[in-house]
Amino acid sequence: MNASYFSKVNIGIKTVIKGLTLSISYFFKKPVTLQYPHQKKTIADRYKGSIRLKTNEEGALKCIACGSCEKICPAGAIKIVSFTPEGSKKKQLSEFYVDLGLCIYCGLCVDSCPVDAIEHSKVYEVAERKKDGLILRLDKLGEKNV
Amino acid sequence: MIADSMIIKVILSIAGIMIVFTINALFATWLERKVAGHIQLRLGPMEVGFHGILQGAADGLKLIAKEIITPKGVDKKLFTLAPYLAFFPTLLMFVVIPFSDKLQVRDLNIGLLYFFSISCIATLGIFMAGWASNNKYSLMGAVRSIAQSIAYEIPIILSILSVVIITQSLKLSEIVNYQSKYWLVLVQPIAFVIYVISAIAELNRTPFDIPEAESELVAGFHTEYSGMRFAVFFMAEYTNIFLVSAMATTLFLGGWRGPILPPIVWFFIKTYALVFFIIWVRWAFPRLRPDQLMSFCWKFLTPLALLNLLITTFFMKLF
Repeated sequence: MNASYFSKVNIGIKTVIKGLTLSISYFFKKPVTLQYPHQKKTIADRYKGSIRLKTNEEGALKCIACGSCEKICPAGAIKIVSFTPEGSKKKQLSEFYVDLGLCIYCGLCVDSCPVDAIEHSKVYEVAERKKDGLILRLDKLGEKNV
Repeated sequence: MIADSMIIKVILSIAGIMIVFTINALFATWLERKVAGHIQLRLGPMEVGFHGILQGAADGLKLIAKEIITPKGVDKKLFTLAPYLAFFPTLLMFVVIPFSDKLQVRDLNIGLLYFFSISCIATLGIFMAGWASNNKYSLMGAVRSIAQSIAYEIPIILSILSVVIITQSLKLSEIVNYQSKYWLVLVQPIAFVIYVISAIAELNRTPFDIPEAESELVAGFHTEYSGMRFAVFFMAEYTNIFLVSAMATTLFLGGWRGPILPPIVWFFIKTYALVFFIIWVRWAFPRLRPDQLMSFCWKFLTPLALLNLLITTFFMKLF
């Protein structure tokens, strides 16, 4: 029984009160978490989500099927199928695939596009049940990748 | 005829105890998760039912549906028996709790003694679980649990002894009747504080949860248990929280006494206020080391309880 015993008891009582008041003050504060499937965070303007193809005013795809995005893609995630109609020199896009399982969201395809036909969407919920589901066909507008 | 009415009374009592037990197990687990959530700036369970009120029922259903696994190398008889030995004392302890002036299964002359001696049996179940699991974590947990229970039994008994000296009775209904004018917590604040601290230690809850310290012992004595057997341990734990709060209400907070509202409502309000406090403490403090736990009990709580008892006895003799 020395002085340090009672000073220890004193410190103990003080810290007990401090801990209780602090935790109960948090109890009455507003929660900081979001109830995810019901509430969603607003996405920042420059967020790099999965890529999508842009359209012009008439609703047609801007893509000219030049294939520069396919060439520059470091992960090899883009695959373009094109054809040249008879009597024309211009190629036309027939299929545009992106494999989100390979995509590293670097944005080089967006930068390299000469006609500004690709952009990042704000889609971040890209989970699928099967691996095949991650391969998206972007030239068919609508459904998931808009 | 008398025998018949006795049987009916026994059946009704068992049914009543089971109802209180089930509702408490569901409500207390929900309350724990909600309070934990809000203290950590979360919301806790929100999906099943209104604000997640049915989460406990959903979890219980899941545990019932799970396969009962008996690991290799366990002592099968003890392993199977242990959860029930930890669980049945909690049902027996309900017998003496006075829920209201009329609602009490048995008003024993030695109700207080009965309650605390039955509560000791549950520790045996914990030790059996730890021993039979044949696992170092379980055994360490069980050994710590025994050491802790023996240590904290002393201040808990000493603190209620001062109540017994004042009320001159071990009968719980008489202790409640004594508090018709004032609550005993006003005369015995130190005993109340010692009781609550020791009760949290007896319940093996944070900050005294060394028997099931997650970060070092996985889950302590119930490491090897899964499915329904785990659920039995779990329910026993939450029933024990209710029971020690109910006993604190009876001994220190005037039991079922209170104005306007019916007695049983007052009883549950007071009890769940204490349950809330015990849950609150869990999320406010870190875990103590085993040596700190022991020195806190033997060097601080026990002398304080003895001193309190001495002063109480002195004043009782004086007046």
